[in-house]
Amino acid sequence: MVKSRSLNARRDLVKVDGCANFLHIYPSEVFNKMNYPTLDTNLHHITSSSELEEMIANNEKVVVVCGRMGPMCVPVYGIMELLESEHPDIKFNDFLFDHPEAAIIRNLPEVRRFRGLPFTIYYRNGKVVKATSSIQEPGDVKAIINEVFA
Amino acid sequence: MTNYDLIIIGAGPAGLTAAIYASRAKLRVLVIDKSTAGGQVKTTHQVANFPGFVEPIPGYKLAQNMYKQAQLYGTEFKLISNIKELYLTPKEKWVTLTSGEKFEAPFFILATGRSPRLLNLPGEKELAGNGISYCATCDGDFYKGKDIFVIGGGNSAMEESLLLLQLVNSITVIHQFDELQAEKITAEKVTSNPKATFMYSHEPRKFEAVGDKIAVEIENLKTHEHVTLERDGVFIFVGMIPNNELIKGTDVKLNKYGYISINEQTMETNIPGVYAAGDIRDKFQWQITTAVSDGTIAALNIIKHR
Repeated sequence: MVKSRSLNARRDLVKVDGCANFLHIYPSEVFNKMNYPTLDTNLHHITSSSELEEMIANNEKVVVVCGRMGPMCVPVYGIMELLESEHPDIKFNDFLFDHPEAAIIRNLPEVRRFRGLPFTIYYRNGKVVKATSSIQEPGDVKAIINEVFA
Repeated sequence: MTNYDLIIIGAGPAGLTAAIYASRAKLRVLVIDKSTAGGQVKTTHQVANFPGFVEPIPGYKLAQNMYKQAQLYGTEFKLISNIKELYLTPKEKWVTLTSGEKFEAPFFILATGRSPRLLNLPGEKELAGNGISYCATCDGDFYKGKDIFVIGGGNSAMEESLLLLQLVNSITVIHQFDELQAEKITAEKVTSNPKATFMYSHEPRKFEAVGDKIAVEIENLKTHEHVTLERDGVFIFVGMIPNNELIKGTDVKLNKYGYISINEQTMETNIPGVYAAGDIRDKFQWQITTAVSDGTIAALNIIKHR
C-alpha cells in the first residue's frame, strides 16, 4: 500500500517554491521516493490511477479536481468541499496534477486543449460527462452538477 | 426571517477580522459570501508581509486560519451563497439569498472586495483556461518554450511577465499607453530582456482559437489600424475592479470609481449602521493589513454602539 503524506508535512524535506516550478521540484523519480504527497485539502485524495479507476467503476457520480495548491486551484477545492455535504451521492476527490499517475487525467482526450489548472473532471457511470479548465465560479460548478448529475 | 446582531457581506480578511472581533464580543454574527472564505488572499501564492509570520505563508493557509478563527468564536457562515436582494436603510436592514432565506440585522458591514478586471472581449470567456490565462504561476508551465502575449503594463503585468520570461520563448506585451505604468525597477527588468517585445498604444479587440494557437485582433490606438497576430497563449493582467454590483442597488454612496465612501474614523457609510471595510472602500492602499485594520475599526465601532 502506498503511503500518503500532505505537502505541508514534506516542507521539511523539499522547498515548495511556486507552482510554476513545481514540476522541477517534483519530477517522477523524486515522487517515487517521496511516498506520493497529496494536496492540502479536505477532499478525498486520489493517489493512483488504479484507485481512480476503482472509484469511477464503483460510484455513479464522481468529481475529480486535478491541480496544485495554486491560486486558480484552491478556490475550486473550496467549492467542492462545501458542495460535498449538499451532495452525498457524489464522490468528490482531488488528484495532485504532478503525480506521475495523474497521467490518467492529463492524457484524457477531453483535456487535450486545456492550458489552465485545475482540470476538473465529472464522471458518470464510468464515463467523462464534463471537463473544465482553470478556476470556476461556484455558480458554474453548481450548474454543471445540476446538468450532468441530474 | 432570522435575526443577527451583525451581518457581514464578504468573507475576505476585512470581513473575517470584523467577524472575529464581533463574535468575541458575543454578537451573533453571520458572514455571507458568494464564494468560499478568504477573498483574494486565498488566491495569493505566498504572503510574506503579514506581521507575525516569519516565513511566507501560503495565501490559502492564511485564509483558512482566519476562517477557522472566526468559526471558533461562533461566527455563522453562508458560503457559496448568492444574494438576491440587499435592503439597507437607517431603520431597516435585511438580505435575502437566492435560496429564499432572509436575514436581518441592525448592523451590516460591506466587505465585498475587488476582482481582477476582465477585458470582456469576444472569445475571452470561451478561451479562458484554453489559451487565455490570468495567472502566470498557475499556468506558466503550459507555455514552456512557447510564444505568448501579455496584456497590460502595470505592476501585476510586469511581475507576472518576469516569471513567464523564465519559461517561455518570447513575450509580446500589448499595452494601451506609450509607456509602462509599472514601477521602473520591475519594468526595466522586462524591457531589458531580449525575449520581450512591446506593442505600445495598442489594445486587443478579439480572441479566436486557430488550431492550437490563439489569434488576437489588435488595434493601433493612434492609427486605428487592425492587425491579427497568432501566439500560443495570452496572459491578461489589466487591474482590479470593485465588487459593487450588489451595492449599486442600495442608497450606499459610492465614489466616482465605484468604491464605497466612508467616514475614515469609523468606517461607517452614509447610511447609519452600515459600514464598509477592506478593498471595497475608498482608499489608496489595498493590502491585507489595511483590510484587517478596516475590519477591526468597523467591528469595534459596532460593538461600542449596539
